[in-house]
Amino acid sequence: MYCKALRMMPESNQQLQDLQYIKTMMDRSSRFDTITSLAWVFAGIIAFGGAAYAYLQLNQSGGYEAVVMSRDYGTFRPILFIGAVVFLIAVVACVSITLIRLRAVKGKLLQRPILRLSVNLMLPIFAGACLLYALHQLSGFEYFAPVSLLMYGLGLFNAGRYSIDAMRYLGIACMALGTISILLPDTGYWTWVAGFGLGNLLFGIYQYRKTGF
Amino acid sequence: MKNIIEGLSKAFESRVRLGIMSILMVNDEIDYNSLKETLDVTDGNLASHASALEKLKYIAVSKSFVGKKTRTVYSATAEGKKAFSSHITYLEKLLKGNK
Repeated sequence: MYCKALRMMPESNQQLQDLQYIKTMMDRSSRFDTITSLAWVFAGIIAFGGAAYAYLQLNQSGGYEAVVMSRDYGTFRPILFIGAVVFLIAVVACVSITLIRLRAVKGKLLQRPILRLSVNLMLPIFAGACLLYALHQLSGFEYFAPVSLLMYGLGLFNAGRYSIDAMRYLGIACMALGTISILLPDTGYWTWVAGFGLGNLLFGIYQYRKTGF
Repeated sequence: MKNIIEGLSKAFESRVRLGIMSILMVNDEIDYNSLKETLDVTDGNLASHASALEKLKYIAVSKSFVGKKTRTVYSATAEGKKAFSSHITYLEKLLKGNK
């Protein structure tokens, strides 16, 4: 009886290994590349909205250069607040749109390709946030727009591998804009608008024309 | 019936072939380099197993040019997907039977 079990075991082990290998390969090669273009367009519009509101605020306080160079947290706080709200709304919108689409095809939100994409996108953004926190205590706020562009671009470039390939190009574009505004801090406002507003919007339109959703 | 299924299992005997079919079950198509990277095999190994699967008409190969480079894209045929699904079911049945 024992010998019979021993003889059988290697075979079932092989089947088990095969099935596990199949599952691993399926999992490893899955990408979440069906984020709807609606999400990108929405993110772009939200960014434009926030930027428009910020423009009014900045004019009241003396212009972009004055506000960011001022090292006065009180003057900058409304701008920071707008940035954070734009970010949060964009994230919530993207997650909601994804959930709605997933429900239509009965997919799970917490599946590995989506988690991989999210982590790869969010880690550079988190690093950027930490960097900004440290930076503002040394320098003021003139690097907030550039660094957020650079980190967002880096996140997109990295996450493109786990999602839509073309995301890498949007990432590079945002990083280019970030580099410009690092070197020329006065351009911070417009590069922010170009990157987060125009960039996302154009990418969404490009995706829509390419894939239809 | 059992002979047919055992015959199928011979088609997928190598790990590389299991890998190729698995990836093509969840991706509509994949290019040669991504396949090679995910499977972590040599050129020769991948080419020979892919060619065998192609002969069995389980996968379809399409070659095109991007500038000067060739781009080879693989996809699973309907027959291939059916055969592989049967193979997975066969493995699961064997696993249950041996436990």
